[in-house]
Amino acid sequence: MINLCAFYHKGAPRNPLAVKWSGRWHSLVYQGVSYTMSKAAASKPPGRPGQMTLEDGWAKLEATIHRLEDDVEHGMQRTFTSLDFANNYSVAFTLCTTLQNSTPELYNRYKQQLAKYCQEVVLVDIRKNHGEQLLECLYRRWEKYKLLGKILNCIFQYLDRFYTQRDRYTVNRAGADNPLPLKDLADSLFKVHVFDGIKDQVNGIILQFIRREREGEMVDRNMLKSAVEVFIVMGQNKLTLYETDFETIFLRDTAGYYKRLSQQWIATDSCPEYLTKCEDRIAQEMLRVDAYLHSTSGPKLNAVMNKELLAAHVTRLIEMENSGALALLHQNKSDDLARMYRMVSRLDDKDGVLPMCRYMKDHVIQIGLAAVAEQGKVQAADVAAFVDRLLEIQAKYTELVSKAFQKNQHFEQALKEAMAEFVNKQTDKNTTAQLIAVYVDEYLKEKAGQASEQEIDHRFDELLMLLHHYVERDLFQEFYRKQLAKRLLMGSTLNEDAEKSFVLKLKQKYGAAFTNRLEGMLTDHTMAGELQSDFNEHVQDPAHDIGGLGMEVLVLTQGYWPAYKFEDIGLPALMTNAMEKFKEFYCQRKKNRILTWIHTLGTASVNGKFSSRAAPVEIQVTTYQAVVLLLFNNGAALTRQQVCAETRLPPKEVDRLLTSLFAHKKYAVLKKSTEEDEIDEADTFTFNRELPVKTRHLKIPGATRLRDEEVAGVKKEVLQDRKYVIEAVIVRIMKARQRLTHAELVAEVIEQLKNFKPDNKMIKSRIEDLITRLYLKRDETNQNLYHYLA
Amino acid sequence: MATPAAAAAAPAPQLEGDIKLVSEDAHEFVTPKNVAAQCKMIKTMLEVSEEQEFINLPNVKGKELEKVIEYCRYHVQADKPDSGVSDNDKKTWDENFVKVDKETLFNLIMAANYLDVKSLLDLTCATVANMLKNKTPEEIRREFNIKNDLTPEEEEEIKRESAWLYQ
Repeated sequence: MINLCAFYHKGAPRNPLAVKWSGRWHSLVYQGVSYTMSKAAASKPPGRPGQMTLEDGWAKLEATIHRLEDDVEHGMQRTFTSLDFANNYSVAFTLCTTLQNSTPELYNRYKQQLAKYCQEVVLVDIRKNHGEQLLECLYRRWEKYKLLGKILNCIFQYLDRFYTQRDRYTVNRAGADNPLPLKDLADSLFKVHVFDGIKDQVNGIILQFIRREREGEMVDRNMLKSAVEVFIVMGQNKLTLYETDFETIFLRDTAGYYKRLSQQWIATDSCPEYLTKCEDRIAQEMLRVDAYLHSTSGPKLNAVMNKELLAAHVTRLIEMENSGALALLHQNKSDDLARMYRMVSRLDDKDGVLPMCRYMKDHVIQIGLAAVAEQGKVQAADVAAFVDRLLEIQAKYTELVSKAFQKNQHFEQALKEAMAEFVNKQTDKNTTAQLIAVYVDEYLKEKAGQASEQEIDHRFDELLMLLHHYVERDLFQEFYRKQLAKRLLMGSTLNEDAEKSFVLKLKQKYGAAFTNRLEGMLTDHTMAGELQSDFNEHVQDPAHDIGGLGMEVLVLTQGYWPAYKFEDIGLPALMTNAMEKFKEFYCQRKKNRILTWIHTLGTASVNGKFSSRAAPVEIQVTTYQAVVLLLFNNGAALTRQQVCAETRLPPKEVDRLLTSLFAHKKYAVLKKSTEEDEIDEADTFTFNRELPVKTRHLKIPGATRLRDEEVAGVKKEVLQDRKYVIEAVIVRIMKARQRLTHAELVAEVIEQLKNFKPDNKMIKSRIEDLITRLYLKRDETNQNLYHYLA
Repeated sequence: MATPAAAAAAPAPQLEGDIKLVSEDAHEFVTPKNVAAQCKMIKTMLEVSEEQEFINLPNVKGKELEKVIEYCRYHVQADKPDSGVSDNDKKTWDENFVKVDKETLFNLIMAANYLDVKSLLDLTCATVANMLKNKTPEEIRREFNIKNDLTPEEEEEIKRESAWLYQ
């Protein structure tokens, strides 16, 4: 009653009970009430424990504990019925509720009883054993103890509810330790009275087992697991005990073990052998963590393994003669390289991955340069073989990087740099740009006809990747344009879809500006067919007759196509007439266009009547050759000078044309008055009617032109183009920025130019030029500062 | 107040079927295990030894045990998330449930405490607390038939300590 009243007065505001309601109040209210009621209710029911003394109650409980200890010892808890349970629960309950002041004593006795059990039964039993048996016994004992604890917890649960729990909230328990909840109490007793006494021994045994397992022996992992678990449980599920008393020692032991082992290995094994063992061991240790250690040990164990097995020897491994990174690259051991990567990537990049990258880069450069040198040596270098070799190198190492090195960015970068290194290497004769262009040209002419779409696609992707390493892509574009023009004009391309798809790929990668002209050329080519059939219809009309001449015209848009030489040449009336007719026809359809005729690109078929054949022979020649041949139609004998006068061509060009028509025996449709190959002023030429012709067609090779000249021309054109491009970029930048220093401007220009790398001199001369043309001006005080002039 | 649902939140697999509860005065109540397990004491017992057919409860009489089971049975149903019973309905039900004479109420408190039914203990204790509310110590003594065993000095001291109550 005192409790109740005192509480009511002291407690809190006037209406506290409805608002605040904690466990503590139950017992107070209950105890007060219960006492009152037991007085008020006169008849006490029989069998109810009622006014039990602590000694009475404890005697019963102690007997129960002994009995349970015995039950547990024999692996049986069945003899303990629900009635036993309920009775004992009731005793503990009654002691707690009616003799409130003796609750701490009850708790104490319970604690002492368990402590005694730990010391006298558990520890004594464990100490009888050694080695494996000790662990087994610890395990067995711990399991039994847990079972005992569980049943006792049930019986004494009222203590947990209203003593150990309640007193957690009590602040003023004058210095005394707060009573632990029963479960924690049981664990801590086991720790203090059993575990602390044997933990060093246990630790030693566990480590011994681990060592034996590392040496290949089979051990009972479940037993180890439970032994390790004891460390965790004994630490009240915080890991401090596990970490200080077990893990630290375990890790130290592990480090020592692998230090010794790795020294043995490194002394005898090759690099792949070492790394194979290493990988195995690391996997084993990680399985060990899963099997019987706490998961937080994983990263720590991992770090120890990395340090002892890898970090300690990584440089020696990578550099190992005959089996290190370089040797493996040479021998194409991609599996070994993949393993090496898996292993060294466990370390800091600078220790393993970057040295490996350097080796790969050097290796790829070496191979690439060898290929380049090879190409330089062979006289008529086989372009296809060389580019195939580059593609092969590219494919091989790209695959290595993506599979063995898991697309690690450092390797990707290293490969890129290595490729750029030799792809941009200038050989004496050819630039890579030219070679790739020629390769594409040959591919499209010869192989693209049979290859499947996927094959072509794949090959193009590879080529573009190769091209991407090349700095002067504008040079490639120019070469490619020349080759494309030839293919289109000669009709030698086999696969128009493939042509388009290559240009499309270029466009996707380098933008529309890069492929603008190429696309224009392809469009012109496509449009030509339509235009031609319209024109053929057009000339059916007698008003537009072109004298029975068969004429095909290909209209090229100026600017898209390479600049071709335009020459004034004296043409026969038949041709000039037909050209006029076409001009009329074309200008009707497309107003305001000017047609310029480029006869250098033309071909012609001329019928020739030879004495060796009855039927006329179709002679295929270039337009120029045809014009010369037609001069001999009336059987005249002409000197070089006469031919020059008729055709209005320079003597050098005429010489070349004449030579192509008489010099080769098989194609000698003209006959020269003297035998020598040299052409003299006095020499005359006539039609060679007696030429023995075996077929209905005679294809006379065109007058050859020097290839080097063409290459030089392309380079010149590209250099000229670059000037425009640089100027455009400079003006664009200056317009946006208005004023920049020289260094800033140069940096931005280089930044913006993607398809070639200009040198500073080139940029500087462009700037000077733009200043003289009043696009820019120098700052009056600062020579290094430019202003934009609108 | 604590939600009564907490106890029923995690039904263990062995909570299928029925269990016989036997009161102090030998009344037997066949009860679904999940209802009986609302009493934490019974739940613990079921966990320790599964294959029980009946459980003796030497501290609870049939009359109170029946009430406790009624309370548990109602709340097992009503506290299901999809039961459709509103909190207000439950409150009304609880209020009607504790409309009993004082002796039964106190016995219920004891039973709830013994069996460890927290929500019922909260409910019954709150009911008693409401009876105490706004009453002077003297009124409470009358109401609950309590003899004043404080000495006048003790009483003075308490009044001094709790002076704020008498302002």
